[in-house]
Amino acid sequence: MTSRRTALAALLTGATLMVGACAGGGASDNVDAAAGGGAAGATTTLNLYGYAVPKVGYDLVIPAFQKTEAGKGVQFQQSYGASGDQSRKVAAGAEADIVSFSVEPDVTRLVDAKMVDPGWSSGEHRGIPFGSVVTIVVRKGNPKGIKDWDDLLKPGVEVVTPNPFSSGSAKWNLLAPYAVKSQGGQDVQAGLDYVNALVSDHVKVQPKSGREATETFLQGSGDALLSYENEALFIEREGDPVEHVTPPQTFKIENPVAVLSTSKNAAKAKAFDEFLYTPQAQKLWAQAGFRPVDETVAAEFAADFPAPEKLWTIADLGGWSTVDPALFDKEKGSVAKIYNAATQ
Amino acid sequence: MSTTTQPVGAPPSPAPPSAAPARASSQGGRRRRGGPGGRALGLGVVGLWLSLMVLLPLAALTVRSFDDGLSGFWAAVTAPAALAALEVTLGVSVVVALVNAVMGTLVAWVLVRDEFPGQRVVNALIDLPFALPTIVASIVLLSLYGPNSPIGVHLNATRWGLGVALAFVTLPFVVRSVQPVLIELDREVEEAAASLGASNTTIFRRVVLPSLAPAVISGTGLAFARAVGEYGSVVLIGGNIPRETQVVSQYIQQQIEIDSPAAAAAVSVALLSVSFLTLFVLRVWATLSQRREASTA
Amino acid sequence: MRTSRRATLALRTLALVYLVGLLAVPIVVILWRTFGEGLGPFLASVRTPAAVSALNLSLLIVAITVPLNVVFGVVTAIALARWRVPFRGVVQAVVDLPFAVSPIVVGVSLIMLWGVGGWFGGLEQSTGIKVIFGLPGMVIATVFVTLPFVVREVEPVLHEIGTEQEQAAATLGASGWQTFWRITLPAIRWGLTYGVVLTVARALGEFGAVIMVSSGFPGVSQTLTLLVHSRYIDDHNTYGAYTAATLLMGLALLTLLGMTLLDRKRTHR
Repeated sequence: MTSRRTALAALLTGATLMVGACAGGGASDNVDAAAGGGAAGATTTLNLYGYAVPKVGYDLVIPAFQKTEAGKGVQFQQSYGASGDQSRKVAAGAEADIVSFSVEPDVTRLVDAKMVDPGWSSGEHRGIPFGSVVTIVVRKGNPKGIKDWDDLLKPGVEVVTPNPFSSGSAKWNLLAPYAVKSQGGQDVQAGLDYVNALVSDHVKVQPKSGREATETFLQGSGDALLSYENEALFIEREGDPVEHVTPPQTFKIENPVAVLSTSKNAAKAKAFDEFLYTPQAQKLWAQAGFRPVDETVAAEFAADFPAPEKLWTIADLGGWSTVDPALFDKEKGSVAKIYNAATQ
Repeated sequence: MSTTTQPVGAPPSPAPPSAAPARASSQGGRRRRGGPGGRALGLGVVGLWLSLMVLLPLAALTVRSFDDGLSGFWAAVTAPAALAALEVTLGVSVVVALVNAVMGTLVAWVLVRDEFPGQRVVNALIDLPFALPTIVASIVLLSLYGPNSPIGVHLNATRWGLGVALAFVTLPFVVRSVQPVLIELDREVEEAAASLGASNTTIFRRVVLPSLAPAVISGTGLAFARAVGEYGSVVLIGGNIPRETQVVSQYIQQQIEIDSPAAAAAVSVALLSVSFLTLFVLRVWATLSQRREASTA
Repeated sequence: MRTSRRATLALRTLALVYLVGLLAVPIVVILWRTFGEGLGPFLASVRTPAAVSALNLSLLIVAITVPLNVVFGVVTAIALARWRVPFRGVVQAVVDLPFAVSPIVVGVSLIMLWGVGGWFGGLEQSTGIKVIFGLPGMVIATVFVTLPFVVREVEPVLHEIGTEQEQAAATLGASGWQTFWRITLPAIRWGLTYGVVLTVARALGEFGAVIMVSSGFPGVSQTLTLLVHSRYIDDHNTYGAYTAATLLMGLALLTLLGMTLLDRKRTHR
């Protein structure tokens, strides 16, 4: 009898404790945000689907938007993951109002699914509110002396870069040396040879997203991590024992944001999208380590974002509509073939 | 029943011993409760519930795995990366199951035959891996054997790490299946053998082990079946390195993420067949050995 | 078999070292990591709105899963133990099936059935109910993995108690429902409770199946286990992952305590 009472008492205590914890919840994982974001009354909720890396930026931009006239009472639900995987989820029915992907093809998938207006990239900045450049993150003190793309192919150097079929980051990471070695796509074979050597002999891990790649690298795998410059700045600020080297020739990363035509709150989503391009938001992106697209803001932060000798762009290679099928098609793309061969 | 708990997440022992006689008596007895109508309704509900929850999803999975025909299925399952993941999974699972067979029996022995302070706490601790969410298991092991290891042991992203994670989550299977048998083992036979001059090694090999073998084998089999499908506990510590530490469930998830659902379904069916076959063999074997026991008795 | 003092000690040491290295030390380390900075930071970290919502969602899923499993599980157990079930062997195998299925495979199967382009994919257009990437999907995934527990705990009890009392009640004129409430239910009560505790533990801890069908919005569709993962991977917040894991571990220990106490109850019935 006593033990049953004890059992019941224990269970009841547990239950009470749990219920006690069940105060109001929210989306923020930040204690301070609870005080600021509590706009009562009629609110709109916007669902943001993004790749994981710009979360640090949205953590600054969203509160700023909520303080503007248009953003009053707008709550955000944010989901972050691998760009390709996030795009797949939205196409498969996950409810989104606004998407923030790493690469344009992930938006194109939604255009094809008739979820994003085909004219999404017709604005002044072609639907790209922020960007970055591809950089190489190395261990503190750069023990392997990695400075340029060729250094990655030195024997014994292990490189961490995510899986290009789920991650946008991985596509940029491979495009950078491809563009450099092929002189902007003129010598395709030279570009592919480099990618082949890199993937076959130096890339062992295939994390699903740029953020997972960072985590893998910080946990001790590999000698070099290919990543966004903003991600490198982020982990350096976090105090992790790494530093980054931007090769003299590298690649311009352009991260698209689009509003879904299926959105129930299209007006607010549109307002948020427009807010991303305002000087105020552009400054916040710059503070978070992203390269702003607004020229005045970019000039202001020029010291933080050194210009490489040569910055190749996706346009140099003929745009995503050419590059994506040629390199990243899951069956016929050259990079897909390299990856399949490398995993044999 | 013994005084030990049935493992959480464990399939019940392949052949419930109480089932056969009770079934006979209930079938012989008069049916109770409601008319045939009520029972038909009940059976309908059960059928619908099991179909909707379990059968239909698996049927949909199987059908989708043949989306590209038999050759598509075969190509997806025999893709080099898929085969590599299967190899890693089966290899590590076999090793972990064997470690379990030895260490689980040892732990059970110590818990039953030995006496030491704190034994009951240790006994209760055995079930912890079943109660602990797998992702917590992963992060717990990572905090000890990960990059910030306080003891300087780095197992993350190695097969050792995989092995430790799988050994953690499968620990209770063998212990909990051997323990009750050990408790009920007749010690008089052992003592008779000892008085006839048999050494401890001989007694263990000739007397104890044969009685324990069925329990050890069934526990090991269950541990193996659990290990091949495991996901949560390896997700943070495994490293997901293709051909080295990527297990089948991670490979399947990767196929879903890169939008190759047919390949994901095909490899899922392959994985499902492995674990189902293991459990099926265990069940048949248990029935056979029970029958053999009954005929010799 | 009498082992010498030295052999006993050697075996004991070996077993304890294995258990300590595998179970005890990692748990001590994570507790030390969590509480090393004091209770304040821990409480702050598990009281963020996202953490509170995650706990709420986990409990909500438990609250929906448990009654479903109790009702359908008991009916299934009664059917298997008392009625003439066609293809009994097959039905038994189907009940055990979820134990053999990898959580990831559960997730993939549910996507194939309920997702866009799946067999029931049209449901969303016609009714507006979102299964995959919605709460229903997470509940269905949890029900799938916990389905066997109640059946497997209740069925043996039903066999063990036999049918005499139920028949006596029926002879005395009790209706089916009366017999069930007055005779059967009290008899299976501890087995049922044990099954429920197992269900709760597994439902709180399910990760692989749920991550495949969740839309991953913190505060909305993130359970505690998903929070641990997303804090660790997406937020680069290792400490937060440790604290959330410790919270889950606390719930698991509570369950374990309940299991141990109930087990004594169940076996000394």
